[in-house]
Amino acid sequence: MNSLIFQTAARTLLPLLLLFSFIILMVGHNEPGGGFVGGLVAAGAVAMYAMAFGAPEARALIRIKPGKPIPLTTIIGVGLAMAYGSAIIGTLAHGGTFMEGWWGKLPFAIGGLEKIGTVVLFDIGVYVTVFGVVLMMLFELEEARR
Amino acid sequence: MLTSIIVLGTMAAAAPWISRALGRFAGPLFALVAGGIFLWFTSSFAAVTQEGGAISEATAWLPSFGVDLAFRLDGLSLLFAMLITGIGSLILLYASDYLKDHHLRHRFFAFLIAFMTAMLGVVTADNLVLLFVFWELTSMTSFLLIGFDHDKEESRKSAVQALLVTGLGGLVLLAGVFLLGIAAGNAAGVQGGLWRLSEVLEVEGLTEQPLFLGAMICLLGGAFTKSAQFPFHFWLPNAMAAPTPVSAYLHSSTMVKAGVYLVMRLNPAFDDSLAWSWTLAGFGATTMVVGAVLAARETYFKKVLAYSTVSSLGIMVMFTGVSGEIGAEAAVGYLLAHALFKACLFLIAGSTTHATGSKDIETLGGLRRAMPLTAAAALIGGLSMAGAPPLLGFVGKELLLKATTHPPESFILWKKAVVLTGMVTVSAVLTVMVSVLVGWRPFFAKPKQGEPAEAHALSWRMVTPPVVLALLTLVGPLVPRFFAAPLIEGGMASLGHPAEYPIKIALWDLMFPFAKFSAAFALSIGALFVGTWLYLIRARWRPTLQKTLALINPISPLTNYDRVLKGTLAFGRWQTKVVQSGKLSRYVTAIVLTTVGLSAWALIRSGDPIQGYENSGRTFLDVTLLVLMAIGAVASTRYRSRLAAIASLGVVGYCVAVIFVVLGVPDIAMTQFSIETLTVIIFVLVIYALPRFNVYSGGGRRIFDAGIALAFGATVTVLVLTAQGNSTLATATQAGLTPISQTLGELSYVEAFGKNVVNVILVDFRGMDTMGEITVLGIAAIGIFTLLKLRPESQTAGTAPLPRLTESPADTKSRSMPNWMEAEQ
Repeated sequence: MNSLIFQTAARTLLPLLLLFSFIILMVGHNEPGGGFVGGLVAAGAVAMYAMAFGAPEARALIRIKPGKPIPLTTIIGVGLAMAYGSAIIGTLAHGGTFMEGWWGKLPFAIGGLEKIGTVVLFDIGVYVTVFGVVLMMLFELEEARR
Repeated sequence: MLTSIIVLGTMAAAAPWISRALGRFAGPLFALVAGGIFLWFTSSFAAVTQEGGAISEATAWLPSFGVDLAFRLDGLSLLFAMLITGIGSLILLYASDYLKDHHLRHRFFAFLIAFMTAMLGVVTADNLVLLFVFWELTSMTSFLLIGFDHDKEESRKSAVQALLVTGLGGLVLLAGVFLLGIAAGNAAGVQGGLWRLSEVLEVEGLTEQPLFLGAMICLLGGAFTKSAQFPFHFWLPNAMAAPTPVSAYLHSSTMVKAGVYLVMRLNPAFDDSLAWSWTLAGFGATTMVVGAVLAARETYFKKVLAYSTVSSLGIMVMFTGVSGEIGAEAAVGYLLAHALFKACLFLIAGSTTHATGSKDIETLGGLRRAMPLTAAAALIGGLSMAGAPPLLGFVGKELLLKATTHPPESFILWKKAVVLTGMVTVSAVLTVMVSVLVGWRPFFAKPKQGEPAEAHALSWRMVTPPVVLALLTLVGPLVPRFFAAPLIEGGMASLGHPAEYPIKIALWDLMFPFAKFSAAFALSIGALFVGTWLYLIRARWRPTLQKTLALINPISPLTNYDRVLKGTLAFGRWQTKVVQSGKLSRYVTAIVLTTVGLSAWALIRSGDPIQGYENSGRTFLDVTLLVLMAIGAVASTRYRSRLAAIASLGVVGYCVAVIFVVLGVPDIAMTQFSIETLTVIIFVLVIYALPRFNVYSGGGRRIFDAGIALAFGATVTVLVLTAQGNSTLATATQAGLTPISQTLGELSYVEAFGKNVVNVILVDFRGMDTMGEITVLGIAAIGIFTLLKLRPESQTAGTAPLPRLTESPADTKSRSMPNWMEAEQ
């Protein structure tokens, strides 16, 4: 979409929306939110960017180093690995019961957060997976139509 | 034992890299390691072969299921373990030269050593489930080895055949293992079954258990398929598509003997049962004769040996069934003799093929000059197979004839003894003929015209193994206490018939008592002469035999196997065509109707479903939202434009989200909003690729679809009302229950440290569901990726398009999209 207004807005909104999605993810345990919604919001933000600048531009955005985008398959894999990893850690920590949550008390509270546990890792895994999956669908469909 | 299995397994995994790094030294290195393990087993010889001696060890694996890594080394296991590692070591040495130019030789070592590991596991495992695991591993590795030359169709076909037959047998064996474990548990009064093999075999009254017969049939099904007993014998000759070292190792001396091992192992506990002895004797005897006759028909070196192996396996099974000390002695003695001479002859078959390029024995001749040592080994091996004194094969055959001509009273009446003796004699005569053919013909007979006169010399790595095996065959009966007699005694003890005094297998022991007037000795010598005579006149009778056997081909087990396989494949094709029609609307219909049917059934069975529901009143907002949703839903079916239809569906979705807000579930509302937005975006992308909107379905179809939609809507409505009715606090307390919403709400912070119950449910209480869901999401994404990336390339590269699932006239316009999205006609 070659609209200057939309493009400018997208560029400004993208970081804000990503930050918002992260907040949704992190407060999820006690306030409305969570990994699933957070992932959707983050994916929606990138989708908006893709509408403004095209899928290749948006793909190039997901990177650690400039010019080296991370493949979405990798992102999905990492997300699933985090979720399964949290399950395994929880299992090992409790010696038997699969996926039982494990909690550790933080030495000092970070923004009201006093304890941290495997379910946080699990939720982040959900976030990353959902983010990857939705973008995979969007990008592939977008590129298929060219 | 666990250590040796781990060592071998690790070596198997690392073999391709070791082989690449060390080149031609890798094979001898592997052989050395296997030889080391062989020596380790040899060193425990004394401890194991003494009365009642056995080495046991166990490591916990799945204690809750009664499965542990239990191993036990007794006489029979030791005999097998020494055959596996000893012959295996020679085979590895041989193969390193035989396959030195093969482009896949690196992985060959991995397969072969992996097989050795699995086989060692089978014969030492002391847990029923563990035994089954190793058993299956031998089938797998055998599949890989038979199909080793996977660019040849014959190899692939034979590999699949072997896998199907032995794999099916493996499944039956699994059932047998469970039945046996449960039956033993019942007999011993142990809850949950008895899984330690050595304990199972010592249970009193096992054969009187009602499950025993089923267990026996299933276990025999596994053993008979593995050991190529009639009517499952056909896969073994076809398995000769494997490289010759594999045939020598798996299909003569070790893997096919796994079935024999199982039968021998179970014998002490099972031989109270008459059904057991009779089944073994019957199948074994039939297999023995069938194998011998079929071997006499063949002229291809390896096929001749393969069929004679079938015959020998029949002998071992049969004599295990002949209960008593004398039967056990015959079975174990023949087992040892056979392993040595058959592996030796197979390796020689490989050497002649390698040197001359010819596989047909009748075209070979005069090779003794080119390969003198191999020729000598072949002569000894052939004579041993024929049962000529003074070789180990003679001892084996002498024990067989001794067992049939002196049957124990308890087993058999003299009439039946005559039948069995007759069958053994027939197969012995034919075996002699075959032995002369393989041991004499290629090396000592005059070459025919046009035969390959040239034969290149062989390296020491291919000469040594058969020579070593031939020497053992020679030394065995000459110095009986060196290895043969103690091994046979140890095996006999495991069969439940320990030798009461050191057995006599030395030449003079066997010849002199019988030389007076012994039926066994007379038959043995007679068979030698008749067999040799048959060899000399083979040109006269072999064509007749081949013609006769061709006549019964249409009802042979192999033909029936092909029939069953074809039938199964045809059924599969038909079923796929019916179930996987490739039309999206059919899939959706099936899913929706199933859901409606099952839910409606459950609701109707529960009596009056909606009874607990209490109307809590309506607000203006509720009504407005409902009206909006109804308008959106109806409109979406009436629009003639996809974009408009999707937009009106979006209205429905947002209204639902607003309802969530009104009801105070912000989490779900947020998710619903995001999902709706993204769905519309994705749909918009899809629409671009779809063909022009068109009305495909006629009036009848539309009414049918409307009916499905209404039924689904009605079911969901009733379901929601029921759920709401059940969850009201009043109803629940009436029934004396706590509603789940209350329980979860109370536990949320106490158990999971979260104040947001919805999130706690998602990531903790029902975390497993979430994990499943995101896994499905990931798989779906990869599915979409492949569908879109692997589109037909016709419009870009000019190659043929992928096969299409549906044919629709409209899709010519939109080749760019995969056809699952196309509208149905």
